[in-house]
Amino acid sequence: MALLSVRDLLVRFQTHDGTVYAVNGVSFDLDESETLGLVGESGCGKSVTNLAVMRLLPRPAGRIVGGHVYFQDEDLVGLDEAEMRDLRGKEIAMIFQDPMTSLNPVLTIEEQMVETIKAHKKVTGKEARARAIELLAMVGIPEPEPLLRNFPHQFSGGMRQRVMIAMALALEPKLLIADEPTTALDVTIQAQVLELLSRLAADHGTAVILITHDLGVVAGMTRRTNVMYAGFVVESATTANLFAKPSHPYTVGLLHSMPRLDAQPGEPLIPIEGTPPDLRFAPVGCPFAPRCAWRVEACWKEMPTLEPIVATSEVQMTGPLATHRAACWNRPTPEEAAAGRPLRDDFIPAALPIEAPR
Amino acid sequence: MATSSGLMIAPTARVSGGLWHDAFRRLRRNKPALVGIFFIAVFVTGAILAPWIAPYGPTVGSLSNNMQGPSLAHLMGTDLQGYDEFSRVLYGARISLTVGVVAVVFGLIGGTTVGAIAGGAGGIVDGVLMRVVDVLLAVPGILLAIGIVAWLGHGEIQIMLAVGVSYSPIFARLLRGSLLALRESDYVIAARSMGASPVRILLRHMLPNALTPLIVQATLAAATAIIDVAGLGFLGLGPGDPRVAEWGEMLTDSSRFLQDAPYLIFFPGAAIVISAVGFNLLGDGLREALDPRLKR
Amino acid sequence: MTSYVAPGPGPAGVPAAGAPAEAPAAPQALMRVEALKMYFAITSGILISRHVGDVRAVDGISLSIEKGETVGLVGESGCGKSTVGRTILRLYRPTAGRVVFDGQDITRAEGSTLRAVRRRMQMIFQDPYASLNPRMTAAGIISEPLEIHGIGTGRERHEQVRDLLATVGLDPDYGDRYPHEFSGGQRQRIGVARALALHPDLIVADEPISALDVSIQAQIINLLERLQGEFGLTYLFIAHDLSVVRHISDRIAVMYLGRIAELAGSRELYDRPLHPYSVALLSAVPIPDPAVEGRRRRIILTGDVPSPSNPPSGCTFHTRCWLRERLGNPDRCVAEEPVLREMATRHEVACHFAEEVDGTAEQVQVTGRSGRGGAAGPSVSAAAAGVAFSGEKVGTDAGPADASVPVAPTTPEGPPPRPSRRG
Repeated sequence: MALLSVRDLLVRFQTHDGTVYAVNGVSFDLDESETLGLVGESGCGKSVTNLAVMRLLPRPAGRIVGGHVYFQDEDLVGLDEAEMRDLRGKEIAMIFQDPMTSLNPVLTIEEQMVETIKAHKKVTGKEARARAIELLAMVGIPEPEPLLRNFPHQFSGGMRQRVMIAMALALEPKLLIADEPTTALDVTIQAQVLELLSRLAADHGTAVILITHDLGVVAGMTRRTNVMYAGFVVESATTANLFAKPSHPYTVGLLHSMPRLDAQPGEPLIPIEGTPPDLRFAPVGCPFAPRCAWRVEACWKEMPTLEPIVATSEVQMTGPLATHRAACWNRPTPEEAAAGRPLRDDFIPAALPIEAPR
Repeated sequence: MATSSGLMIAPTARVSGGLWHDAFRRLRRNKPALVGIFFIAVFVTGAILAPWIAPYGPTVGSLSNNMQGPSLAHLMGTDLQGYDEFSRVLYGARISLTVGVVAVVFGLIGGTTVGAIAGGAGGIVDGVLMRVVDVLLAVPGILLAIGIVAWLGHGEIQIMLAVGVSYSPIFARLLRGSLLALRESDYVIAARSMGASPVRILLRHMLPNALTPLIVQATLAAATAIIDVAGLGFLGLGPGDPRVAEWGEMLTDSSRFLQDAPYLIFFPGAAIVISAVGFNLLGDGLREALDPRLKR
Repeated sequence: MTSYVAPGPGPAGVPAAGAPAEAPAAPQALMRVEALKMYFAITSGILISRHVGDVRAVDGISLSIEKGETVGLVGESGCGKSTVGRTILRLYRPTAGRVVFDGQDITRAEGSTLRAVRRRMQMIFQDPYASLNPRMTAAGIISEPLEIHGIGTGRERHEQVRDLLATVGLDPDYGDRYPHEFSGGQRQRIGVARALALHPDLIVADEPISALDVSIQAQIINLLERLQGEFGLTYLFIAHDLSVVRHISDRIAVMYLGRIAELAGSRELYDRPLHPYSVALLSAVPIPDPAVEGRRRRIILTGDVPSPSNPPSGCTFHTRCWLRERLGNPDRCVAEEPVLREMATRHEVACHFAEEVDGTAEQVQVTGRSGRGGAAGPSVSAAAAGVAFSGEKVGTDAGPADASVPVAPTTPEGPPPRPSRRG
């Protein structure tokens, strides 16, 4: 039974510029102790999806307008705020990109950690403090006791993120959502923090949703990965398969447009043309179509659903390949995925229909 | 692939018409700001058209007719001398609004000059000027204004100067702060790296971008200036000529009649409050409208 | 890109012998800095500011940039790379050292001399939202350098601007729009057009793509490469993303706390890093390939980067250096600042013990290649799925609570897989 099951999630924002269609039907599962990667660029909806799971969308602008979020078989969408508060921190925890803004700058570390612990557990101040010290040691902060009295700004970025992780894991939640936890950090510090995260998750059996735009981070940390674009999941697979057999033009495009440290020198980058879509328009058809080299007529009309890349009759419903799904009318073949562009003779991407909904 | 960067990338259909245009549109959508503009417009119109729309002159009336309550003939009643209150409120608007606005203008001129010198010169000059500004800021504005009027004597110009000087430190601080911050912004550094002269950088890059907070602050200052001018009048430091209608002085004259003729206090007081609130609402609206960061 | 042949890695511990295949022909570099230092004074005091210390942003850099090449300057935050870029453009006055542009010493140049030189070197900035004056139109921004230097008539400038917009891939008709009407990638293109306006020889690109989405980054990288060919530009490419720097640069300088740790051809740096920091940096860069990631062995540096206002004595890296720890904490690292010395042709390293790095398991394992010599292509075998990510921590006793794993030399395949760390 999946720990977390998101089904057809729809999230919209009301701004005075109009409605922003942030999440347009996202579904995925997460098992216990599994690390799932959620990859996409800014505006793809990865952060909003997880804020929706935590029911932390900015109000009144952000609303879940459809779908379900089943956490341990309970639909979080219907819960009231008090019940959600009970869950947050204790069962589901979240860490954010910028530890400077997610840690209260006017409270000491001790105050913040003790507050979190005491909010959910009946312990004395002393016990909470001892637990805080234990947690800081667990995240690799040497000699934590004197540091408790410090304020967040007295720590470096890497240390602050460790404190965030310590606070998030204080109550041993079943699910940890890490929203771009290392994007703001230097690469050597990133390595430290990611290593810590994966070790702790393994030690405590915590399921992790790792949100990032960096495919390299996902490659080293996750077992499964979902690729998101404009509020949709466009590809879902085990991480190994995602890189081995990318089956959506966006994934293919991303892989070919990123310079790799171990690439042959002189290997050209193949950028994805165009710019990300404006989410203020309700999506009609596949949102990636304007930038897609594989597009066909159908792409302009209807958004494809996530389908297994191999017809289910051909393969047993077990094994990683069975769960590899992509949402595309015209999936790239493995050769095209390797080349980074369509290889079919005389294939011309379908032109924009005259009455384009834009 | 040769096409990778050859693709013409065009922004979508034009949604913006320049920064002032956008600001204006945002302002139009802001209801409180529109209310503020309306209030100000009412008073400005009243002030300008006073000679034509006031039913009487500001000093027309007879003692036999004094202390009358509001009636059809005298919409706001008559005061101690028998003058029509409504007309006096209208004529009073001229003084309050003019003096208030001009005072802010004086303050702007003085303040921005000091701020620009301090921000531009830096070093000792900056240090000394800012300490002077600090001292001036330590004195409550109204006290400073009182002091200056006491020194210079009665009169409209004197009031304008006094109130203006009391606002200069704020503007100086504001401009200096903006200039210092802007100096480090990338586009200023870009201009330097192109070889732009410091004058060009100041005029073309820094000042236009430093104006916004000043405009907002000036509008808000107008609100308090109106109150300050009335306050000076109330304390007897107003224009000096008792026949001139000035809201603050009208309050002074009527303050002892709170029980008998509350309308004599209510109407000038309301005029002060509403015009000040008007400027405040406009200032807040401008602050929100002029912030370029709000547009993406 | 100029073709520069890196000597292949030789037998362990011996710098490659043999002459390079092509001797540099340019007699003098386009840009050269010698022992450049840039300190920013820290002051304190109420009325009179007292000089109480210095932030040593750049602490002795020597570097030369040949015409037509791309030199990458890479390092983490606080290493001083941005300051180097700005000092080279004389946006700051160097505290010490020399800056020589095309044979002309511009270290102390001012006024019209400097202005004349400014025409030949320009900058592209990191933040596409902050580097354009929000109150000027795109056309105004691009034509400003032309106006400043009095180039062309109004009409000619107008045409030039349209040409430049087209060159960078923007529709020339949109010149009268304001920056906020463009996307981040488009604004960056405007910045590039502005830098090109004067047809400079040298462009310093300070993190030009860090603030952009991944799918847009490649567009800008390709644009910059194309322009280099079309206009014969020389680039100093400053970034923290080693993958990008490696892709675009001919040579790379790795900086740490204001000094250059290693300076080598981009391929050579990757094949054979000789500074312990370079090795750690390379090992920390994520590679988008789970099979490769699974094989890699990460060096986790402990602790944080020291403050540039109070750098460690001797070698600034000694407080976090894994090599030093392995060698038993030699005093030389604390006592003596290492100088850049040539370990192989056009491969300089600032480390007393660089010889010890060559051939270590860390160096070899840095990108998960099995065996040395020749880079393996990305492996796309699905069978590699499930291989544990074996991240061994190499740290000092100031490290995390769990005991640091002693580093034992292992076979190139790496230690036996641990129980899977991923759920």
